[in-house]
Amino acid sequence: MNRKALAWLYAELPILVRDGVLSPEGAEALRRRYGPLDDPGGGRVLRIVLAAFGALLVGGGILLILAHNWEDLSRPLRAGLAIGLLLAAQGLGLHTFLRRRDQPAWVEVSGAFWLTSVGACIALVSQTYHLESDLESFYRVWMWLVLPVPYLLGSRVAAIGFFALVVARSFEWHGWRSDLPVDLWLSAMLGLPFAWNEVRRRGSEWATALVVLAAAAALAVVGLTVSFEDRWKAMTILFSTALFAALYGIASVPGAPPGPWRGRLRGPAWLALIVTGLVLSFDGSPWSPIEPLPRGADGVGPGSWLTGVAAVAWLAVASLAALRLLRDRLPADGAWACGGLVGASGVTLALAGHDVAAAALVNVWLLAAGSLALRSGLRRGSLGEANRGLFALAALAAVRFFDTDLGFLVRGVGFVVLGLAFLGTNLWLLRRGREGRS
Amino acid sequence: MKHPWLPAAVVLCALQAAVPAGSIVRYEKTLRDGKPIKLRVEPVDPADAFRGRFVAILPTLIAPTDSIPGATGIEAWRWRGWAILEPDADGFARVVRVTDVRPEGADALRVRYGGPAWDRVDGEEPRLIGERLVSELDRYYMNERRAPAAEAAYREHASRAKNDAWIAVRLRDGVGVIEGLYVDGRPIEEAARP
Repeated sequence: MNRKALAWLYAELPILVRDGVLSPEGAEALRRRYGPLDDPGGGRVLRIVLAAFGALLVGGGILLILAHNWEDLSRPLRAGLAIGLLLAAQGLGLHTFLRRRDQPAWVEVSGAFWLTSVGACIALVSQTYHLESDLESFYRVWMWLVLPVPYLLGSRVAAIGFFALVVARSFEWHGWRSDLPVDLWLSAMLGLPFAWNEVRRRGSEWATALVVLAAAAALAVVGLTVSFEDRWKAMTILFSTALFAALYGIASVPGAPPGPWRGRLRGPAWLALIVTGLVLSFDGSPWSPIEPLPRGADGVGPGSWLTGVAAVAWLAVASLAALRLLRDRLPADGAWACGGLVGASGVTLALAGHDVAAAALVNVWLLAAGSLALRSGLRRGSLGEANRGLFALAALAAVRFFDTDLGFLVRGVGFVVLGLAFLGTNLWLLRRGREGRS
Repeated sequence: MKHPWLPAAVVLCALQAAVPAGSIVRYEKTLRDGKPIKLRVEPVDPADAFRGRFVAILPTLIAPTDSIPGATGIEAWRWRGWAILEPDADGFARVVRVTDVRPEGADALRVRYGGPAWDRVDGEEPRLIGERLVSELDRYYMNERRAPAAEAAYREHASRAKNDAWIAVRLRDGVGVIEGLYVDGRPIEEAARP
């Protein structure tokens, strides 16, 4: 129930009881029915943030005190302190898990403390024994040890931290040194059920949107790092278009759980699709030369093949989302979600030697999707959708202006026309919105 | 209070504590019972010589030419394996054998290929003397207040002109743990004192 309305009702109850309209038992029944008056979202968030900040200050202060005397401590004592820090965090985490799981401040603070203390413990042991600086191994161990923490506590901060570790490990992995670790993909996928569960249970909360964004970023970085490191152009194109289209589709299908996570995911996914599409709209280096396997590789390792499997899986998700959107008469959203199919088709054409056709296909897709979005926005009076369509068309026109031999006069006139179209569309929609309200 | 996932939570805590605790036990045993050996260190690029609270070091060994198993040319730079060591008359490590597989029960150190080793004497042509193997023990932590002096002392003594910087390591079952960093026969902490 709306918080304001509930506050009003609870304020009225004593008056109603006093005037004999409602019995005291009836008033109590109403209070039991609707539960306590929660704090406004803002107050609760502030308490969580302040609690986390306080915990960080306490933890940081303890670490500084220890660091000041670190050299005077014996090696076993340093090692013991490292373990002690971890045990303290585990104790707090278990206490929250058993008794405070319904209190967000406890859940998030203990989740964050638990996650960081595992890494701090490993790092302190490394420092104590002058161990080798293999950051990729450090992140790998840390990441696997903390994977269950978000699931146990329901902590979104811990989940975001976990996905950040996946990203950090991806950046530390160097393709020239070793084959892609198979468990990198596995770890990213094992974090996804938490994100999806949060969307279903608490999709209306802004913190869930952050978890979803972190998960999406982790998937994108893992996949693109692999394809870049492998110098595997075909896979880079296939994976990026499939993933971005799938994320857009997931956030747009009508049956998805409602909440701010949809807009937070759809916006960046759409932007990534547009940027990728604009790059692929050129007929030069994006498509040629292109080979089915990584450049210079004797063979593709199991980890790299997993990227291919992931790309195909995301392509399937994007295609299903596109079908659903088109079936539900959302042609603009459906067109954007077709970006994965466009990427896959382009790769197929380019591998067959038709790189110009591949680039042309992308141009047609951007033109169609942008036009559909503009038309849909104008029909529904949606400023955001109309502007997305206009932006896509304007960006496409701009890049085409730059890679053709048109003179300055033509380009200048073109830009003026586009600019007027932007302004005119926005003014018309704004006026229509005002007329509708009055 | 019983909770269906409590056993899983307890197992997780035990696993998280077991990883660093296991490392501590392994390294303490190595420092207590491991074979002592000395490794010469080379200078590190000045831009990387000191980051934060540690000194970046480059312990190197010389193995016979063509001793990297199965890896030649550019592929050798991806090679990682083990160098089985024994001390020479002065206690410095000498490579007995290089292997891909972790040797059981041997005094060995994990190494990577570091390029060909050249003997350069002023006025003469450089002479190829073997393969450079670089240990992955690449940092020595110390008090950051003494770090600038330590950095200077390390670079001076690790250079070719002096070549009297080395680390004392304990080896046990393929695990190497640094005991100390020495320049000119003295611990770096003493050499870096004002």
